[in-house]
Amino acid sequence: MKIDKITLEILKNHSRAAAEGMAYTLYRTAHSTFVKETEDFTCGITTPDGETFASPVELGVTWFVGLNYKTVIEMIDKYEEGDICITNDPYSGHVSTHSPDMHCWKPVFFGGELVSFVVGHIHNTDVGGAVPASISRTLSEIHQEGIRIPPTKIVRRGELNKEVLDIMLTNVRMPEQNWGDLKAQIAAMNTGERRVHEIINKFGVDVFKAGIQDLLSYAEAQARSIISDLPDGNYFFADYMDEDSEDGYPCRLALTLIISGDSITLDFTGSDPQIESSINIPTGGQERHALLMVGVIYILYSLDPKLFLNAGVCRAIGSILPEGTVINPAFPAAVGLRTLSVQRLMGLIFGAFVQAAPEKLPASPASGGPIMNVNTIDNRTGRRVVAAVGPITGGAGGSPLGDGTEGSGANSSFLKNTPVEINEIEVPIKIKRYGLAKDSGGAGKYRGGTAIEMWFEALAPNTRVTARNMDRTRFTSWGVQNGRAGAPSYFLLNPNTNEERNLGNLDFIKIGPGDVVHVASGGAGGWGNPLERDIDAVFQDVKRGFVSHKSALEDYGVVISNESCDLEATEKRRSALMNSFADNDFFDYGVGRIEYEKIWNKANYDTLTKILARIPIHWRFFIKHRIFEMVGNQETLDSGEKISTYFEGLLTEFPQLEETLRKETD
Amino acid sequence: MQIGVDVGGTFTDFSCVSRDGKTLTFKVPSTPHDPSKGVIAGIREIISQTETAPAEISVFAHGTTVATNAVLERKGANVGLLTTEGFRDVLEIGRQMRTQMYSVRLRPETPIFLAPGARRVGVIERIGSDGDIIKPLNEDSLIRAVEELLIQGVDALAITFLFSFVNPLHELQAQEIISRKWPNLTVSLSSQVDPVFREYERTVVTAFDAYIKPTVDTYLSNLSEALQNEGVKAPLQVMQSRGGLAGCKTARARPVRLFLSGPAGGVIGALEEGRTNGFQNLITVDIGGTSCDIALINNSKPLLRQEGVIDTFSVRVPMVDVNAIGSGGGSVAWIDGAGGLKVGPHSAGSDPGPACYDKGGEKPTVTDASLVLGLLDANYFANGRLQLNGQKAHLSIEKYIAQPMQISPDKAASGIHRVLVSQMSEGIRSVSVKQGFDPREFSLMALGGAGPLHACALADELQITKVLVPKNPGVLSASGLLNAPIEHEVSVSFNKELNGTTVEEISKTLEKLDVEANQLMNDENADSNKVETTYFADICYIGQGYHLEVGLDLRVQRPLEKLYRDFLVLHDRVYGHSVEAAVRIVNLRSVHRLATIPPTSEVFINQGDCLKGSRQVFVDSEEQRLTVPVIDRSFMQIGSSIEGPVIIEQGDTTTWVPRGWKGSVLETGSLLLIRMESDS
Repeated sequence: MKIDKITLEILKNHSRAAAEGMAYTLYRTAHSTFVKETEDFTCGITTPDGETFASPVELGVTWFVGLNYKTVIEMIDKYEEGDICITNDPYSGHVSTHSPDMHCWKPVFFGGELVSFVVGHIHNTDVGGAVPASISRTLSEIHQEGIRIPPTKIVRRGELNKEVLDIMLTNVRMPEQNWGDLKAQIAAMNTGERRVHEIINKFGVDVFKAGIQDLLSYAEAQARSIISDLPDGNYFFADYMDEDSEDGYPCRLALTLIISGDSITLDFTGSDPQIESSINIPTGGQERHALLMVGVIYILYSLDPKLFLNAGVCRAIGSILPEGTVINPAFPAAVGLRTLSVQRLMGLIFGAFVQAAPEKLPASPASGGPIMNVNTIDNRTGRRVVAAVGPITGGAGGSPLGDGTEGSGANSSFLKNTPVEINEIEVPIKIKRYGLAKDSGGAGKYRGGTAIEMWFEALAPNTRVTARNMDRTRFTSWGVQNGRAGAPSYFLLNPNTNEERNLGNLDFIKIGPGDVVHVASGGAGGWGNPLERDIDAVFQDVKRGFVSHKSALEDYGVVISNESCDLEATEKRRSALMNSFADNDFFDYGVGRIEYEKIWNKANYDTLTKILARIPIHWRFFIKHRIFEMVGNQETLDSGEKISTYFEGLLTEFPQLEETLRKETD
Repeated sequence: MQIGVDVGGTFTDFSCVSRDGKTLTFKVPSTPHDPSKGVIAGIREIISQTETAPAEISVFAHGTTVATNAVLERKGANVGLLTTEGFRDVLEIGRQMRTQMYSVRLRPETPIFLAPGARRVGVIERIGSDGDIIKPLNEDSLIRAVEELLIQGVDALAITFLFSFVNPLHELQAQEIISRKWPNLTVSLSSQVDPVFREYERTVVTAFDAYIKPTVDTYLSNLSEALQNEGVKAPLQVMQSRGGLAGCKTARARPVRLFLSGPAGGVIGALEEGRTNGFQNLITVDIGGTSCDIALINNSKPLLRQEGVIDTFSVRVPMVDVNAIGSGGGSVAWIDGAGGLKVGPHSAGSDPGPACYDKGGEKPTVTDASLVLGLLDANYFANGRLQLNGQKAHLSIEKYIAQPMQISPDKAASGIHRVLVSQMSEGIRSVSVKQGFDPREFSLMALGGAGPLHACALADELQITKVLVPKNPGVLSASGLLNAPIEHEVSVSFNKELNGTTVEEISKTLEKLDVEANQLMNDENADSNKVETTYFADICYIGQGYHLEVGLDLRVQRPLEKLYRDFLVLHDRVYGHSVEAAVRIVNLRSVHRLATIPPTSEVFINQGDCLKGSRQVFVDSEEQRLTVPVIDRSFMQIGSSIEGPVIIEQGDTTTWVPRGWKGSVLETGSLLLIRMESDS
């Protein structure tokens, strides 16, 4: 049954509003400040097969439009009216993607028939495990990341399953918060069920059943029409996280984007092996896993904001996910901090797509930045304070439409900051500066968005400062079309003193009264040649402190003297710079990466990828590290032969590995 | 004679009540360049029509969009913003919240235009979180900063220093230094405009205040001068966003409180209209050309919000909670890439307007659909001032909607209405759900030119069973001005745990607020015996980032205990739960209000047959055109009743009563529509 387009539009309005209604119920009734302040939750309505056809656009996080509940739905034997199921286990169906995310789904029946599910998740502040909040980069196994609840009925025919609830609450640090948030989820599920019933009463069950399928097809058709407008081709892109473990080696994500007609394939071959810290991305090898889809959804939506967002969009997309890699880790790899890697993954997808639509898409956004937490005793009250003092984020990439937004934007725009006036009242620190960092945005005709920086002084001893998601200290946000890369992020202790210490990529430090921390996110990449930037825009940037005189002169060729712009000198300087200007490659990767890739070029990586793919998963991270150690800082200009030689050496050193390989080939 | 004047974008509406209870309502074209011209033109007309002497005008209450327009048209002052050194980017960074997700190409969502980059300068000074002076104000750095701003052509200053809400000393010192050196420079201090914590929110309000101050000031002083010249002796009173009137002097000093001046009048008008008809809980839906304004009235009180929205920017000033959604009569219908029918948010406006206006507009709009369906009379639109072209409407819907969708123009037109109603009903639902109310417990009040046309369909969607259509649904903003109280509200940051404070401490703080509010009342020669004082506390759980406003009555036994209980009840209503945990008083507020005695007006009804004729109306659910009687509202007698389907026409609107609804005329002349199956 095909339903008419007018009815479909009305069904669409009501479905989206129903999902929005669930989200408001949840937001209103949730207890934890975390949910209120960060809105880290989702709501949705799915088909009986678990495909999400409606989700809110005003509230919640952006990551789960394409979420498919099919796997977990199938892990429950039989559904009855009034059941509500939960799971937070990343390895049971891969719907939950780290243990703090508690997912819920409730079957909706009509006349005895299961017609839909209402679904959603909340990020719980803590689910137990090795560390408060359950997330730390240093964890290596899922078992350290808190209690895991496999798909289970928490409510059976309307009755609460107290046994499961008790087990859960016994294992967490702040049980009343988890219980409060779970109640909010249950309320949201019930709202969703009621709204679906109202919709069915209005349209009739047959129209509803056909309509929700049509809504998926509708989004799919829109997505395919956007993809068709992009030129066919293979677009390769790679990006890195600074470290794959503490003091480790870079972690590479690689993608070949294949656009063919109205479909897309994401081939992640070349991505690093899964790692011994918690930044693995648990996709379970599902080719349309929500975490893989986010980046693509951002792109398609940016290309056409009229796109109706639901799982139908994902039908036009497929993926190749080699097992045992960071984007398809095997049990029991830790996954808690996948926030960091998913940010990089989104950037990876942006980098592949910008090659297909260079006149429409921006340079790299800063993609996140450290979330600063302080844990100490307040001198004023004698009480322990554990508080987030704010996400230190960076701006959006410059684009053909203009400069990137400052301080936050693109895919790092949904975490609220905390006012200075709340921080200083509630946390024993004194903030000396909170602002936009000079020269952080990548130069360009359209400049990359600047980064946020914060200086603060500790007022109490034993102040433990965490910089969760610290990254981009070495590999910076890329610029395009002769636009420059953004500045790296940094984390300094006691800057401008004799005791100044560069903390690099460290994400935890203990300091005392009088110590000053200066932290900044990376800036976003620029778009287009900086020498073509409007002169007055450069001048304004200097006046508002976003660009230094030096950068104005060197990067933009703009001469400023006596607080005004010397147009004549600028013209001369610009034409001189233009003459010596080498038309760069499409991307500017920034110094850190350019230096690194002199050693670890594509040929070396191709060889390494092939080697690692051959050996068992539990050997890969180890062998990668040994090869990196052997390569050290030598530039290798061959096409990977040396890497092969090193590996042969390792096989001799580790007969166990050689034996395993021999057995496998037998 | 009492006069309420509401200046809108197109028309300036007047509502006058003479001493003997005669009401006169009329419109004159607005004069956007200098709105006071339109006002004066109207006054002259009243004077000549009613033969009233200007001196006999006893009340002159005014709702104005001048503050809002200054923002919308970006015609405010060149504001320079002085901040604590190290924090000048606060205005730009904002709270990092975005209304649009999923896009990699976003626009900034903070009002950077108020003071772009170079017009924000840091000053050396620092006050700590408990009000202690960490670094004294450095006078040289202040003077350098102002000089730097003056070079850039700044003509108004906003000053927001950190923690000035605890200790305003540095802001006051800065103001004094500046006024000594540059006496003509306007200065807005954050510690006076909005003395509450959260530096970004405070900065935004203060910068908006500075931005609109010169415009509002000029306008209001011109208007009061012009009124004096006309011989009007009544003081000029201006509607504030909270729904209370203030004297001209106060309004000029606190211009940021005027953003919702016009809509606030509308809400008060609706409230009064509801009250006189015995309705205490109402959702008002005002459908105009480009947008639909929704407001909730609960227990005969307008819902207020502590933070309003102006031109998409959140501004922390108390306002009546009026929510606009971008659908109205001029909303354009279109078909998207996947063949779906959409309505709005683009509007054809009034120029060129809908296709049927015949002024060059080609795109089909909601009004075109109404005409095609037979709901409107082409010869009697807007009192017959505008001749509609049915042919144009028909062609437009046929070409842009019916043909691409391969359906009949009738089906297409009713499709446009159905999509519109689904959008608006979800907008209304969302407004009420966000406030913790179930729309089914409310009655709907239909306002604006197009409200009564869609009201029953909306009510059906929302399972609302009663719809009230006022006698003059287009001029409630003006009549509301005559019913509004004079009101002054002052608040201060308190920031103490409820358990850690005493009634004495709170009373002392409130006394200070009362002195300030009394002064404001005195400025308007208000009879202090009749002024009613109410107190409020903004309360949150400790550790919670958002608060609720709770009424505080110091006359009861154990007032703080009652305050706590009331907070728990309210928290439960708004957030669905409450726990007996420790709470903090964030702010204290004193509201002084002098109720006005609403003028009583008599209802005038024409004598004669109210049946005007009939029209063929396409009804989708019945798949056919029905012959529907058309009634002239001005002939409908009090107590008379009708049954749908029927069309009721009046000069400023058309009411569509579909099958399943019946209606009757109440004592006040208002029309009450009731869904029939809900009759029992």
